Amino acid sequence: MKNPDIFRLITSPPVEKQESVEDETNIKDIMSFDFSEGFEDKVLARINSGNEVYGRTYAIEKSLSLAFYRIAFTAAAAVVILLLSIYLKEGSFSFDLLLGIGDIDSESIVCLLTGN
Amino acid sequence: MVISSYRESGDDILVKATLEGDQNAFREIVSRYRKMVARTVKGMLGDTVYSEDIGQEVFIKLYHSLQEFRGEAKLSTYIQKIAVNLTLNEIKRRKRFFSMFTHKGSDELYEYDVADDDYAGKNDVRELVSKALMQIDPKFRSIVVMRMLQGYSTKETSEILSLPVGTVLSRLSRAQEQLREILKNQR
Repeated sequence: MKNPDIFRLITSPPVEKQESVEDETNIKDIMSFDFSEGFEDKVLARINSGNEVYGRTYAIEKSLSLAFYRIAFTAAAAVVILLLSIYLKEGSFSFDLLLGIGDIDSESIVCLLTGN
Repeated sequence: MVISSYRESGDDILVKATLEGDQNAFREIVSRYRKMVARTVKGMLGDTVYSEDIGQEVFIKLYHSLQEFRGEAKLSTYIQKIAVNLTLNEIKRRKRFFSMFTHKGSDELYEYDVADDDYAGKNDVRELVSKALMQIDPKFRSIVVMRMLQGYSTKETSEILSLPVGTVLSRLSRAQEQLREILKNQR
């Protein structure tokens, strides 16, 4: 089948009205696809292994999700250690202590910011 | 009862045997319908490595949902519904995922894959039609794939896609308009 023929078939009005079964068969033959060798084995292997949700398609996103959780938990742990060390050193929590300006009075901050 | 070869068996026997735990029966189902699923998935996603994964997902989902299959529709129709739903979900998912990194939509990325990897040097009809299909809206594409590539009737297409017959016809007409425009320079 030449290009114009398949193009005509695929862009012509609904087949019930004007095309023959032979034409439909031609489209199906030309536009035939298949999966790779051993497809059945791969499906059954994934069913039996329980690794059903994540295929190669999701591998990148799964890796990004795992990386996010690792970074998030590490960051949370660092914040807890920081809070603990402040509490042990100063004996209390305050907003100034968390910002690292517990020992500086407001006049010093004004001087520092304005340069006077 | 374990039957070593189910080649001559009907779908109902295969479903029953699979539910009884015979994986040879399920292997026969996969073998029987893999080309049909490939035509749907690759017709809608392009012939890329991702399509193979989605194809596997279709049969895995089928395996787990066979208990819900009542036999009211044909097994092939049931599988097609799963294939279309998973493929449309994948198109949406990839569009969301890639939109975080690029202005390109997922379809344009698929088109890039198709042009560069799988079809290089194969300037044939299938390639041209596939590339044209990748350029039309997924909701139109699914209609063309069911109606023209799979050869389902308008009524069957409407059942598989859960759409009214009128919507199928109007979308098919609009899809063909778009395809005509895309393919007019290829003649």
